[in-house]
Amino acid sequence: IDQLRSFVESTKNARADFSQTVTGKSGRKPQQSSGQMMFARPGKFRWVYDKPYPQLLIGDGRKLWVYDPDLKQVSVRPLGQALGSSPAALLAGEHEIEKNFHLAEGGSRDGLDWVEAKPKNPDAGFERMRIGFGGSELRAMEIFDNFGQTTLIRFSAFERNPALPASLFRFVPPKGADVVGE
Amino acid sequence: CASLPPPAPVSASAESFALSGRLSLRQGEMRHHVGISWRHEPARDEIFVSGPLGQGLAELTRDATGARLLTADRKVVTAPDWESLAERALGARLPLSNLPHWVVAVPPAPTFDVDGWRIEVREVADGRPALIELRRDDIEAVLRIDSWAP
Repeated sequence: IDQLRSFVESTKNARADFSQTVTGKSGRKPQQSSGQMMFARPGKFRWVYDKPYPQLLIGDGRKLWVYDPDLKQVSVRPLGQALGSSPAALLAGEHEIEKNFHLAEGGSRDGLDWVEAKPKNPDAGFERMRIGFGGSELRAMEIFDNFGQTTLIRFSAFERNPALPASLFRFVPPKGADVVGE
Repeated sequence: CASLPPPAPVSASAESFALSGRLSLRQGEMRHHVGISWRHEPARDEIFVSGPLGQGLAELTRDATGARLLTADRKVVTAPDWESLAERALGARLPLSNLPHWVVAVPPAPTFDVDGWRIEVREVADGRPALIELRRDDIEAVLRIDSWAP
């Protein structure tokens, strides 16, 4: 947990590549995806999927924008509660992570030191999460949703506190995209 | 076609398939954009609805005993017919009982009308529909099929 706290304290913003594997329970084929992520505290993050198809998620501090260029579909919803207990919250959330999560030592496995984080908000949409550190560096996140699915995200090429232009965390709907508001 | 046709006995296609893709739905002002993975067999269907980061939003299953919807906040809802449950999971009422026929094979005519639905197969990939548009009254659905599992 100290590693998590020191990570949050020392990492104002960050950028990393990620690979993500979602394994379902009923023998569904695991879904692989990959891309880049970056965040800037408080509340700003950018999650870019390249594979299997392009998709862009931007938390601009107030709203969560999701853009699917293939279907020209933009959906937007308030970030507030979603950020409070979603995996992105830990990365880009305010400092007081304990406010939104019960934290517990997760022991060491696969060469990483893990922290268990259980959302305090019962309808957070996922059951619990584990965050893996290599020393003081964020290396992995494992999200267990309420359907027996596990999303494992592995980070690489992690850059701590790079200069990130604010424009990265603003979303301007492209012309012709159908904006879906909720 | 003022009223919905009586729910046809589930004559889902004899084909069994498993597909994963994305569904974007618009009904009037309401719009949804979700990930879909659908495992279909004549006697059983399972549709898993997921959000942008892959996290589960809803799981809809149908079999001889009826239909069941499991939601992200762990509520379970059952109903005799699954199209009404699907409306809750997907955000609009879709012709789920007939959809299996339309996703497995490229129709002779890319655009056709069934039960008041205008179906348009806009893209085909290795012999199967890859992008299907369904329109009826104020509902507009676009189903992108990204991959097929045996």
